[in-house]
Amino acid sequence: MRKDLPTPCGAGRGVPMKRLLILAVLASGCATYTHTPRLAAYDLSKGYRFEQLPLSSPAAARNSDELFVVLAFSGGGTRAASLSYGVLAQLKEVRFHWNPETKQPETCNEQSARCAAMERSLLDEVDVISSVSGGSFTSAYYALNGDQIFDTNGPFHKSFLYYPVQHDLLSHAVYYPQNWLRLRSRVEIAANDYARNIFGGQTFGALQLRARPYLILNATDASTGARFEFTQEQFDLLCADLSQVPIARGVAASSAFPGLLNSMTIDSFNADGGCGYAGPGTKSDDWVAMAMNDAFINYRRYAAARETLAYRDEARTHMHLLDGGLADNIGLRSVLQSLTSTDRPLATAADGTVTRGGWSLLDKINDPDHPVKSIVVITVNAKTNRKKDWDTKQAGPGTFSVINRTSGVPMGNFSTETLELLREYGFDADLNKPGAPRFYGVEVAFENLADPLEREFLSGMGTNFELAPFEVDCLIDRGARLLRESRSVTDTTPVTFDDFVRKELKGTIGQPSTPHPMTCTDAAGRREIGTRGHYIDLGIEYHVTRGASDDVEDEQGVGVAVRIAKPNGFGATIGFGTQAFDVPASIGGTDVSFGALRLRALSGGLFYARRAGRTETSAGLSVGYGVGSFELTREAREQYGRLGLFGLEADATNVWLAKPNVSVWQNLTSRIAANVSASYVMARPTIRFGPGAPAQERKITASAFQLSGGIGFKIF
Amino acid sequence: MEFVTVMFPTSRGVNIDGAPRGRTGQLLRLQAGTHRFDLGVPADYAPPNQTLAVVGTTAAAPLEVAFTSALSAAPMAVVGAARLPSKKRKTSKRKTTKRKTTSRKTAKRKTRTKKSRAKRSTRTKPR
Repeated sequence: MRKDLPTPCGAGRGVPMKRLLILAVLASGCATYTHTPRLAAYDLSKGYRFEQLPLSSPAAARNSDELFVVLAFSGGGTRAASLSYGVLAQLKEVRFHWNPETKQPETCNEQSARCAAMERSLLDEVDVISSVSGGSFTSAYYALNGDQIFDTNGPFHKSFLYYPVQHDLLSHAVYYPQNWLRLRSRVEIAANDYARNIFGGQTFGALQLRARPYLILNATDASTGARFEFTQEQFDLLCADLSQVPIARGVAASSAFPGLLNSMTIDSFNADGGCGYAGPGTKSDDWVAMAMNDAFINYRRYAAARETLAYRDEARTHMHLLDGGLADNIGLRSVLQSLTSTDRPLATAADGTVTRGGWSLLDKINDPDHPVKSIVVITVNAKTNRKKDWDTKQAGPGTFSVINRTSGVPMGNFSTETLELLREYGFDADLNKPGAPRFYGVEVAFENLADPLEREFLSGMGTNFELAPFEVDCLIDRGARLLRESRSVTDTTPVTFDDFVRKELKGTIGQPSTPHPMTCTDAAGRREIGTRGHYIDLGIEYHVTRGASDDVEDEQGVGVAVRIAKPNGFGATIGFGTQAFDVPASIGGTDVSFGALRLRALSGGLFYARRAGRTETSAGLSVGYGVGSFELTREAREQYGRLGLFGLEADATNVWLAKPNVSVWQNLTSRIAANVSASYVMARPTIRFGPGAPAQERKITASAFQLSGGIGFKIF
Repeated sequence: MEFVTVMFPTSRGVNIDGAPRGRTGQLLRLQAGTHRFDLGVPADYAPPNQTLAVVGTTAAAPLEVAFTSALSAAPMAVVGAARLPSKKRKTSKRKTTKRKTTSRKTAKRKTRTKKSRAKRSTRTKPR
């Protein structure tokens, strides 16, 4: 039930479509969004929920509850996505044997059917992935497609990891007409782009049919600042049905970095009849009811209850979601909540059977019948640490740097505290002792790289959705290496990942068959990366115009060169510009510059563009309607004066014009690009003269070739 | 993290906040805060439930939540926690008074040693 409808834009639902369309055009950018499907009936046994994932598939058979593996992927654009991909690739190469009867790992070296049946990878054992922003691309694709993520010819590689995603986001917004009225809903453009090119339009309903891992995509509620999970439990609070929501929308919301993308709108139906859900806190033994007493005992629990109740507010008919990194940039908060709390929605049937929503590792630790034996938490943290030279100068950081730090510093500090909570958890919960579950937590982060040059290169990469292939290769390979060489942060004496696998899982660690760049340093980057892509260039150009008829004169001059990078394939443009022509004439036998013809034209056109390496070539045709004006030159007036004609006036008619053109932009360096373009303008205006002129009108063939060349400087 | 042990003469399941979460005699981990304890069905125990603020415990000194057999007159024992009013207890004046008295005595005796630790723990809880 995906419908792209105009947003109310100040008007309520049910306003006639025609009026909305006119309003949308006039406002040129009233936000539009894909409406959220309503939940037919609240039911904890249905929907995308951890407890409802199928347990009977072959994949589920390779996943034991006694060994519970959780991954947390941080934000950080393609940098984070690549690093977490490297960790997945490494986990696939950790092989061990799990005895389903003893429910523990077993050494099994013989070539037998029994050993083969018991063999699995640590990736098979991943139960939950919680992710934010860039990390959400990797987690969502893996949760949906499993090992297909490693297909180097698959969409994840071809359309995301090694693809300039942000180039497409920009060019599709600018050159695809269907997006022009949605420029204020850039997150919707992104969601549609991700759905079409990466996630194949799949919804969360498709995830319900798959085995673990359970996917938690984290966004941020713009109003309350609370973490917003794309889980049915969260959507229950809004009486909305997650199963019909495209996965790409969850990923786009999770990565909707403020400024670049706007907030994503999710509908709430609490004021609209609800879904038969009484809501949290309505039963006396409900955790929310309990937690509302806890302001002075456990404020975190009390705040969680208040945040939960805030979603039931009938006045809140729409939720607006921002990048998940604002609430938790390493995706670890939901994991900590699960480790430290048994608070979750419950439904008790008449026969006393309890259906549980949410997921609680603490419940699993307490479960006397199926206790979890080992909990592994792997945090992939792609945080940057670029060198700043501010402190070597008198002048402080510039305005943009300050704005950047304003968002980045709190996020980084909060992440550090979150990691510390994870580290302390094992001690607080009295784990890792005889009779208690094993708790093994590691962090994959650039700061753990041994080589300072590699550390500097990787942690200095930008946060965007377009990295060079060399950078992606480095991130994948070093992500895998960082996991292999990691040490636990949750043990009194750190245990290496190698020891954990060999001694505790009785397994082996192989190397993934991903690219292995020898050195990943700034120097290697300069050699391998070459010229980076440009999105918007601004510069100067010199143009030469040659009249194609005797009616217009040749002309040359300097102008402004503007480039917004085009998408591959067809696109459309719309624009307003002025075409100027100098018109010659013979007055009284003397050739003079007669006047200046101007056509102020609103034009639209189609083009076809190809990007190949550093070169972007396009050919197109624009057609427009020009408002004509004509002004006699002083020279012409003087000549008419000599003939005894004074006070003559002239004007030009409005006219259609066409302009075929070809253009080539070449990125010379990462900052400078050169442009050559050729065009031909065709128009047939008429110059009409006022009273007293020797002629009433003159038909002009205002056609000219124009050749221009210029240089542009990358501003984005 | 808080620690609780629910006591009952025989081994049986324990409900916390409306769902089965462990067994009697087992060291249970909970997050600090208000929790409701009961033993589910059959309801052959007393009191019917206990709503307690769980705070300031350790694995070595967990909160002990005691239930007695409904046939037995022995009162429950609560250690290291504040007791919140229970609706059930309000319905029977005589029984409530008796339990409260006993409970207060037990609590006074035991909380003296726990008081300072509980306070310290509450103060250090992050806000």
